[in-house]
Amino acid sequence: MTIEYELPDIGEGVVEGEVYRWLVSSGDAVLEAQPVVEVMTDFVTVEIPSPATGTMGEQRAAAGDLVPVGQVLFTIEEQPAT
Amino acid sequence: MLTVIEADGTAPGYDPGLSKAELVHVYRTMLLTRAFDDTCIKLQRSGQIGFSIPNRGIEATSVGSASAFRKDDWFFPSYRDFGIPLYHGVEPVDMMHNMYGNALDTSKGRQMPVHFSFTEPIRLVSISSPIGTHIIQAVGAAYAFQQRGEDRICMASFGDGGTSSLGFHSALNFAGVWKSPVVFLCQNNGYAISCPSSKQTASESYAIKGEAYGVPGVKVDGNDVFAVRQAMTEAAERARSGGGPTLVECVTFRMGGHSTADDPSKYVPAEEMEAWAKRDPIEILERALLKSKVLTKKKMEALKEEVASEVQAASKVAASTPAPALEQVFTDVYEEIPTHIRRQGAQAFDLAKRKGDASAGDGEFPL
Amino acid sequence: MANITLIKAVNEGLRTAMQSDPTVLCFGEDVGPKGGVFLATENLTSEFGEERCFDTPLSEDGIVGSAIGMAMNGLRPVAEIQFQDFIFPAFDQIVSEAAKMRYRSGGQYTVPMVIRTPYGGGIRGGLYHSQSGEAYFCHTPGLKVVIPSTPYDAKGLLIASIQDPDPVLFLEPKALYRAVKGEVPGGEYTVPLSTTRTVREGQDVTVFCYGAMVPVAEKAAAQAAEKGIDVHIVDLRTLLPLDEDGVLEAAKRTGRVVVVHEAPRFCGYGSEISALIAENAIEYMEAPVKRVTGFDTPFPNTLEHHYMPDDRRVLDAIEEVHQF
Repeated sequence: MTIEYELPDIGEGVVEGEVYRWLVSSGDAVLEAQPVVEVMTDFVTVEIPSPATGTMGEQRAAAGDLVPVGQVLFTIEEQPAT
Repeated sequence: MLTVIEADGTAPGYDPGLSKAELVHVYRTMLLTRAFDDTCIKLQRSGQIGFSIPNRGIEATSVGSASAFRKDDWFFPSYRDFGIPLYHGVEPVDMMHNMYGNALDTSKGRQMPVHFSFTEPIRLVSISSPIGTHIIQAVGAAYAFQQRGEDRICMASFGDGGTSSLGFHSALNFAGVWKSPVVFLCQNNGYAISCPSSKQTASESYAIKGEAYGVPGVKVDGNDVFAVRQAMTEAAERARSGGGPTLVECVTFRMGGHSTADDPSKYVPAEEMEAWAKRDPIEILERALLKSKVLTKKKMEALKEEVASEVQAASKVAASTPAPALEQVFTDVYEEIPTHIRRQGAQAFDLAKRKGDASAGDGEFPL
Repeated sequence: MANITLIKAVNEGLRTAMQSDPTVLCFGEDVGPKGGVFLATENLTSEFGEERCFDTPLSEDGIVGSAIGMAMNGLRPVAEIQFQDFIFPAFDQIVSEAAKMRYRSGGQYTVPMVIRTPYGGGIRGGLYHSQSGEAYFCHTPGLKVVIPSTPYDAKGLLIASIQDPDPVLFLEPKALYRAVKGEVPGGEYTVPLSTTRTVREGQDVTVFCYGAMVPVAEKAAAQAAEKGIDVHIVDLRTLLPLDEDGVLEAAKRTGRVVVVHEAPRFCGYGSEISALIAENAIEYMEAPVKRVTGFDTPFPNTLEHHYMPDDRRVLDAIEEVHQF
């Protein structure tokens, strides 16, 4: 199942975040809660955790891109727990 | 500054006054506090909850303090005291319901996360955001105990910044005059958001501030859970026996920021952060427990996994609980719902129905 | 000219005022090196030094009380209260002291100061990071109450407030801090206090609003236009002293009025607008004044979206007065 991860509101009235760097690449295996990307806001630089165990799918923004809150930042191809 | 546990884990001459099971409960609660904190931060970063307050590094201050009180005492905590409710049996899932602000939140989804309120298993008085307002309230609640001749006491917890508030001044002053059965816990973590203690006060310590009000003060290593427990136990006994209030300053450090919207690397020098990382309160207690053979490393690891699972499960239950019902916006303003509020409730339900919102039910105000 | 957010415009306003007047200083909790929890005072300490932009102890009464003393003695303090919800320990200083000093001293002592504070909901801040308390302060003769809704107005009104000889409470709509961008000139300029701003010209219904409700009203007006209702929107900007003539003129223009504010309804600012119109323009009115407001309850967290007036509620009110 493909999970689309939208950039949440991660600070006080934040409307967008800047992708600082990707910690994994497309196709990499990821575990639920594993940090996959660092995003900078005016207040904090946060490590976004993967919402599920599976494989990193599409990365919809590059380092340096501004992503509005609510926009899909990446997808995860979910794998059932073994 | 009072310390108990030495670098090698020995605690010479110290008797925590706890059975082995109780000691394990202290340790497990510190682990649970950390797991709860770690999980809340991850939940906030992934957008599942809106906000959290880091508690990493505060475990000994919160849990050590909690262990000095009875379940029938009243607690007026700050928002950085997860260890207090967890020690006395508040379930992680009930705290998670508050973090999610859902239908099972005791505060009915009205407060921001971490602003807990419980009446059982302990009286944990609804946490406010304005600083210091609760400290003087604790003195008032203690007055009721005094008047009824009960040997129950109150504890109020606040940070270094909180000692600059009006509530602190009023509380210490009233408590001194009334000889209140209160223990004041100052969690001195060195920073009020970004404001360092050097800008907060010219006083040589926070503990000594009590002197101006006729309230004895004691300064304690807040990362040494036995030291915290010892000071808080003495203070609790003083209060309970009619000896009046005490101000206990626990010197500690918050390893995370002020909140999930704060980046401490912007104002805390890296060396300071690194120095405190070497004084992890959980590791300090572990050295003591290993030295006195209360627990093995293997058992400690097992407990860590156990609390992690417990918190995970709690967050999943809270995540799948729905939002509070719409009528909860309009209840508890007063005991009875006055006409003008009832009218607004009706308007809200009518509008929600016309918007196709499922929470509107049949569009009628249900109460 | 630069296209910047409202919070950046505040920052620019402070910087500009501090550059042109060495008696202007900024202080409050976390406004120094951290630059404020919303970054309103970002870089001011590094640019102007700790004597002119600095952190205070955690004490709202101390912040405002000391500001009053500074203002009386030749400085122009711009005090920050971190969230309007935290202003109440300073209420005594604001209402009893700052607002009444000129009057009680026969003009011997005056208080040219600004208190800046983020107010209003929309960031999931619950009871204590969302309040709109403007009514408490509008009930205080001697005080001025100003609320910008655009970056241009934020800078211009802030500089005007700093230059004003009387105490000004400058309420900044935090929901708009980063959500609204606009063209803001460099250098010094002012927007006069006690003037309204016409946001949208219309002929059928007049909507009075301020702060974060201005974009809400604009959204509702766009939807109303699709239904053939032409809405005239007025941003009040200065709540006290109010541009009463401007309000009455806009009310008489259409004879159908809606007032929008997040703050609770009972004794909210909308009551004053309603009474003003009833007393002075009743013969022009085709419908009763309709208020769209927060409920008469504390501000809830999870159900915030039900509490705050949205475009749907404002549109409902527009249609109701239009069809009366």
